[in-house]
Amino acid sequence: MHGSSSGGCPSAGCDLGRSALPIAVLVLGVLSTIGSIVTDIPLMKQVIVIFLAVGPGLAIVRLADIRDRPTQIVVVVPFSAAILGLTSTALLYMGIWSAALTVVTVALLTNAALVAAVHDRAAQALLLTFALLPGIVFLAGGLRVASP
Amino acid sequence: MPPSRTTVATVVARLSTIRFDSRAVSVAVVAAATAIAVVGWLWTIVGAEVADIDDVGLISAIPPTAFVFVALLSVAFAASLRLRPMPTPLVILQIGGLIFILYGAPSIIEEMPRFITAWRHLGFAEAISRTSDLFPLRDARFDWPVFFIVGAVLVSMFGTQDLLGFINWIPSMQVALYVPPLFLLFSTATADRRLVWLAIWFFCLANWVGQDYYSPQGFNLLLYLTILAVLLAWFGRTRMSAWLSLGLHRTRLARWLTRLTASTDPDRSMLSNRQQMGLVAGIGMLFGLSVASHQLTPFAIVGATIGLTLIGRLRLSGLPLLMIVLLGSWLMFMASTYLGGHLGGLLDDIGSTEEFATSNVVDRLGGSAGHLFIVQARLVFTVIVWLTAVAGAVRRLRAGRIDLSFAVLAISPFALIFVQGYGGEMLLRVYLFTLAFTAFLGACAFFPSSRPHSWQLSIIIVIVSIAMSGGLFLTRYGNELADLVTTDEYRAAERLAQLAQPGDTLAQPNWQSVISYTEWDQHHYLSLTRDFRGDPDAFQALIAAGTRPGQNAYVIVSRGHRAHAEVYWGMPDAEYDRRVAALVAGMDLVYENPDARIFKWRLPVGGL
Repeated sequence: MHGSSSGGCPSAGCDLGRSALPIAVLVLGVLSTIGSIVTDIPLMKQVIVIFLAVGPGLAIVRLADIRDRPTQIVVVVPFSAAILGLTSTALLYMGIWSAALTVVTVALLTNAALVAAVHDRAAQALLLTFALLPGIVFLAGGLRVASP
Repeated sequence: MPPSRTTVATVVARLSTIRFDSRAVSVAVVAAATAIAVVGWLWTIVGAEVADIDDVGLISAIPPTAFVFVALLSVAFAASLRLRPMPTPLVILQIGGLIFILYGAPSIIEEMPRFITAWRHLGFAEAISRTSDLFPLRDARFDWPVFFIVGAVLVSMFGTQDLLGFINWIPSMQVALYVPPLFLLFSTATADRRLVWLAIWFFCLANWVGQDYYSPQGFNLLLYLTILAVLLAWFGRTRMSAWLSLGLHRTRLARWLTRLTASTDPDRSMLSNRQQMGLVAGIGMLFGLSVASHQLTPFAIVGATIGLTLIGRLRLSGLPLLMIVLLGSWLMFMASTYLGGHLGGLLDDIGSTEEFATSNVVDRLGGSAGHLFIVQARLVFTVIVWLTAVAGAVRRLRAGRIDLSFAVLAISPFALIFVQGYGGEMLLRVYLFTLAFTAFLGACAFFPSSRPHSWQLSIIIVIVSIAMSGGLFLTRYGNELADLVTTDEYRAAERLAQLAQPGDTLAQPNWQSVISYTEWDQHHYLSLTRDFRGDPDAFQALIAAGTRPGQNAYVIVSRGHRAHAEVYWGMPDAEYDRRVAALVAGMDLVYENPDARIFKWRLPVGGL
């Protein structure tokens, strides 16, 4: 993968400024959390599906510093499915399963991976603020909805 | 005002100076042909009628002219393979077009998602979304629940009814998702992009087993392909294993074998620690997902990694052991409900090849004349695919290459045959697990080396593609008369869910209905599949015996049940009607539409 880098950038963190992708994933995660709680917003379900299908996988690709484009395309959806599947199953076995809680947990995990992928402290702090948004939104607006 | 002679002359002079890039023109023509093929196919089949489907399946309802457009797409694809450099985006569009044609046809022609088992899986997801609970004592599949739990998330968000449109298109979406891992996988064996794309093309044309519906196994094939693609691309090794080369050091045979089996992929072994850790963790996560979502696929993955380790093609030599530990732990601790009840039977099945042959082949050779023809066509299609793979491997060997990893991966799933029959479906699953590798080796029969190919070979590729597409429609959709679901059947199932109270028995002549798609956990289901061809006087006693005291029984009789009796049992209509009359004698008709009837039976106090 060193041989097939994305423009010679030595780490995943340094090209964050050039790429809007992590920000887009963060925003999708926040929107999905809102959409899973407030269910009557138009097109929000589609946003949630897109986020669940690619968001976590993109975050892992960043975290693992996978640079090879074909490999990125191959693993994004399966990795996302793995995060979604294992998270929702864990919540069910813990007896606290709900669709909304699953979405917010996946969003938090995704955001955690994105923050961990960044090396710059200032950017990390900025991202962390956004990364916690799904949890804040969930606690503020949807605790009752999410409880099984 | 008419243009002056000077203006016309200027335009002509300018046009004559334009130099057409012959490749650009060729790409444009091929792209236009691709678009015409897909749009033409769609335009032809939107008028197809479900009522025209008979016991040879969907192909009976598709107008023959539609295959002209399949031929056109095949010509366009073969032309793309000849262009230098190959127009990759166009080839990807052509593969997408092929998937749309082959896998989207029932989604367009039929009213509802096909295949009863997909509806049952939806019922499992709906039950979880409503109860937040699993039901391993009612159905063993709940011991591998991840797929259904994810389904429950979708049911909670969309509702069952809205999900039906999504489920209708899952086969096309799922096969499209198989393409990236197939590309990466095949790229590990060759740098010849023609071979890679032709192998993917053949994979789509030969995938007749139809496991890509809304099911754990369809999704697990994606995991299977992804894990193997990442392992071979990033953790593959070019040299032979020590034990294979034992005693052959510095011999001509060793050098020859080393040269034959050398990887052509030069630049995929340099990984930083972080990247290695990330990919290994990712593979572990995908395998964990597979272990918790499907009974069979993890065994196929373990078999494949053991095979690769034995021939020295895997740098992660400890991986199979870790996988076995994870798989064994799940079986012992999480799937204990299933194992507790079935361990004896599973152990008895090991090595029972006679039982395997009976359940996988002999038991399927029955039913109507059309169905028998379909079964035979499937056997022939399968044998042809495997023989083509053997021919491809031989041609590639003669061209100086041996794809040892792929040969092992094409053979390793056959070991599953000796484990158990898997309810008569193991041969189908083995075909599915081998398909990627047999498709690649089959493509090697056409492109054994990277030399430019002749136009005659392009014509052969077109002819083979047309023949395979016809074969796929025949074999994959051969049971469509039974597998399709109509809107009226769905409405009847919806009505039955409203009528029946929790605990009531829902009985039917065979399992060919969608009644378990909702509130699956609320009712007791009684399918007379095994008894319906027996004594009609015993039907009602069976229902009475299967109904709890104080509860009612409902009997649903629908188009699908009749189709099942015709296709799989070869039962004439008059005989079917006689048996249904015996089944519902004395019951109250409570709902009726053109495709289904529901009867209610108030059992006498104290039973019959």
